[in-house]
Amino acid sequence: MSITPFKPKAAADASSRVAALVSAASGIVLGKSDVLRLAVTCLLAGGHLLLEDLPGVGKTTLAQTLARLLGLSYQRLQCTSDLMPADVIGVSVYDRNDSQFRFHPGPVFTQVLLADEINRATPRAQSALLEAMEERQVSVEGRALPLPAPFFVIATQNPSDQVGTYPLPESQLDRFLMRLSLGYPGRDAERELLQGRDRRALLADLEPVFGVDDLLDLQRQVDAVHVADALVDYLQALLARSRELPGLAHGLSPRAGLALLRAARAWALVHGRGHVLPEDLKAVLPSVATHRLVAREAGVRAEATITQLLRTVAVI
Amino acid sequence: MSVRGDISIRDLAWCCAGITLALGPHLTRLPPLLPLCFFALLVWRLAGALGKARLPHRDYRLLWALTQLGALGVFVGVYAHYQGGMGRDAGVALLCGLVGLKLLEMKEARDFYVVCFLAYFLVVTHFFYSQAIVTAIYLFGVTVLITAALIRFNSPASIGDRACATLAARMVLESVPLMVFCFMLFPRLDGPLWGMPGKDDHGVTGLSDHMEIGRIAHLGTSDEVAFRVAFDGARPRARDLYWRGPVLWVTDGRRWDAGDVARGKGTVPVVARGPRYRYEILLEPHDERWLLGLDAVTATGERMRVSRALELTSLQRVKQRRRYTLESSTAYSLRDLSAEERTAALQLPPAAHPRTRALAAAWRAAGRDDRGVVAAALQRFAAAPYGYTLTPPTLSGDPIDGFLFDTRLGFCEHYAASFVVLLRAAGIPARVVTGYQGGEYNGVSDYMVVRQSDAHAWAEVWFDDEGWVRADPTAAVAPERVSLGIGEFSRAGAGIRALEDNDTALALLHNARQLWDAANYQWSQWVLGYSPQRQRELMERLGLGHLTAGRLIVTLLIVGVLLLAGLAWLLLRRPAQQGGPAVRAWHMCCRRLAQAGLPRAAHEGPLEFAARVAAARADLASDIEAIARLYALLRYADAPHGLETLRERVRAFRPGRAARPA
Repeated sequence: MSITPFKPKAAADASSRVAALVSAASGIVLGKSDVLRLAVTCLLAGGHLLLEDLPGVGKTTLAQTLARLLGLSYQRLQCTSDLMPADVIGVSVYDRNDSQFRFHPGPVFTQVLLADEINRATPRAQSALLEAMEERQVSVEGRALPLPAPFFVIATQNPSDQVGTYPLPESQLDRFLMRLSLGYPGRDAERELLQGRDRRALLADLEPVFGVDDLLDLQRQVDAVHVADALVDYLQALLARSRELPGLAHGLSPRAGLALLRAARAWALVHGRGHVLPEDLKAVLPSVATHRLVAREAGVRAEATITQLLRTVAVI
Repeated sequence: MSVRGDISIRDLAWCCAGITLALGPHLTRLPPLLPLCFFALLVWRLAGALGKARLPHRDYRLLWALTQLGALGVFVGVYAHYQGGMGRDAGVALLCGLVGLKLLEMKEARDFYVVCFLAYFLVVTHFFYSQAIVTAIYLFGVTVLITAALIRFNSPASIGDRACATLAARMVLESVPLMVFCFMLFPRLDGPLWGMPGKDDHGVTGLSDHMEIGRIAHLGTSDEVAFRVAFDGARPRARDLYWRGPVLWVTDGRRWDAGDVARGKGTVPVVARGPRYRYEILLEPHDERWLLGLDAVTATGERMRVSRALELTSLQRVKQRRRYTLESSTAYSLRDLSAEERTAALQLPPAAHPRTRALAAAWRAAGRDDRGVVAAALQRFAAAPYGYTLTPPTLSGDPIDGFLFDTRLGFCEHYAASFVVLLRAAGIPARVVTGYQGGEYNGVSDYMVVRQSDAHAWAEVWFDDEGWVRADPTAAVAPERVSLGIGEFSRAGAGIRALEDNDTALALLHNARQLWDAANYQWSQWVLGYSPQRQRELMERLGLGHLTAGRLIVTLLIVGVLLLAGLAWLLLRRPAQQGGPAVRAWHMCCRRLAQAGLPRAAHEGPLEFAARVAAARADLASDIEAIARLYALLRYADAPHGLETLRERVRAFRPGRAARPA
């Protein structure tokens, strides 16, 4: 394990920038600063985000707000059962003037892609998208075309409506670093929403807080956050425990461990620390792990198991 | 923690300090060239580590050749110095030389361990030479130092030297109970484990089986302990404390020898006429065969013999401290004289001591009987201007005549010898008895110390009706020598006595000396004198008397394996205590909070817990938050500093007990 010099100043700076971002976003997505902070953490860690919630609670607004505040290009992809991979990636069309095929890039060539209701798309379309997420490039007619950097996918899905959907298999859920849900707004937040200005109008007025370079710089800082042996011990204890908990069909994979560590690093940076604490792991664990764990019996909620997991692993 | 491969200068300094101190007491015992070479190698190694000199470590072949040559040199040198003898001294010299070479060769972690364990071995070799308390204490300290060097080597740099030393001292101290346990119960061998050939057979100066005028003057100034006595109950009066040693019969006019008189076997013709005293003597080694006993011995112990002159002799030379129990009566009668003994007790060199013979003849001519002659002789010493001194003038010519009629200054030997010559000249059987007189009582541990300065010589006279009777002419000259003992007596002579009564410093010094001697006595008694017999006694008291040595070893092995297995089980069952001193400090803090009614749940991280505590007890908020932050930095940021601050803050952190509900 390489030891990175401990730079409290840089970390504090990162923390205040993220705080500014979160407070600006809170002006649009009301009363959800915890979720916003986790969402930003996910983006800083370079991970894709899955929002699972009912329609109308502000998933799209959240995605748009983040794209806007970060100064990133934004595309929306509405998934339906007749969505073809070409609708995602793009298509080569014969150009008569040039007498050759010309590639028309699809919506995936953007920095923030909102894939709405991803579970309505067919597995074919899903896998085209998920492959782009994983590889950060698409293959067109034998050529590899890189996607812009940074590249985030914010996908949403509706948990209650299961008719005519193709639920993502666990192996593909794994591609999302975090799964978050917004939930209904609180009483005060909802009142403000109802009485206040239209969100779309507000969004149009929003100025970017970050430039692309700032974001890339912060992502590099995430890599430099120090992880002590003691923390790895704790992480391994968590992973090992998840594999022996009776309520689960299977535990957390090594990839899940890597994802946890990555998210925890970003979370530590968001909180102004140059090193990861067990608290950071615990804070990101529900968002990072829940969608990767499969309950053994239907009806048992993975959330309850996560709580049990956290309560049975000692921090030394 | 990664495996350490390199040896830092700090590790090296610790190791060198340990090994230098481990070598220290050997310096005077080694051939002078060897310590020089050793320290040259040591300085070379240190200078090399500091970058001030080149070490041969780069080139493996060069290093190999150098160490091989060095080892050969040490072998040849030691062989030449000790003329081929491979005894204790040569072995130790060899070890020291090779340790020096290993120090130079030291390159990897493995070498470091080898050097440290060699240093432990060096520590052990000192016991070949000395088993005194001071040696043991010193070597205990050196052991701590070497252990600290090993701990230093295996600790991260962030842990301070003092912490290493403290841990080492604690580890060594914690192993003491085990040491005592093994010492007490491990089957003991009769005599020391190492039957090393060598020069360890020399005893200390003491009495000898002959006497020449002038010899005991030397002893008079020696403060060494001759033996110690612990009485079982009451002690005899000071003036009855005559410790009998060799009895001298044969004289050539100047020199007195024991001869072959009264060596034959036979019943001891002693009859006690007063109370009997039982006592235990702890005799310092003197490399002779005689043993000392209070006059007169009525019952003896094992492995000793009593001659007809009541001399105690050991079956072997006394090369180690010897302990034995005797019974004596200070009032006794000794009535047995063979014809051979009578002849020996009257022997005088022909034609020697003419003036003495004339004096004896004159007394006889005056019609004095045996008792009259003895009285006249004692009278003469008491009345005439005779003096007691430890530094008498030299005597040329006939020493007895010269002393009796010219110089008239001497000490016990002079008086005893001339007294016996006087009596023999008058036809009365008499003999010289050597030994010790008096002794210093040590109130600290209830025993007496008899020193070499208490050496004494007196006479025994044969009366046909009474048997052998002790007559001490020295007592006639200087009664205080006998009633006070030589120590007090010589102080009185120098006028120190009056001073001492007032001077508390001197009194303190005296007390300290008694205390120190008592410590030495107990050390000899319980540590060095812990013999197989004592062990058997102890085992019987513990109810293990039926165990033989073999069974004991097997039992100890089984107990040891069971203990280790239990320990292993405990350690494996429990999650390992990780993280070292920072974690310990944090746990201490958590324990205190638990006592204050705020226990940390096992799954709570430091900041989480601190936040909970701060919410519950606003007064503790700033303290606990600072401690938790510091701990988190040390533990999860591997921060190099702050351990001391954390410890201080935890030490000062007093959340108090939980308030009892009213």
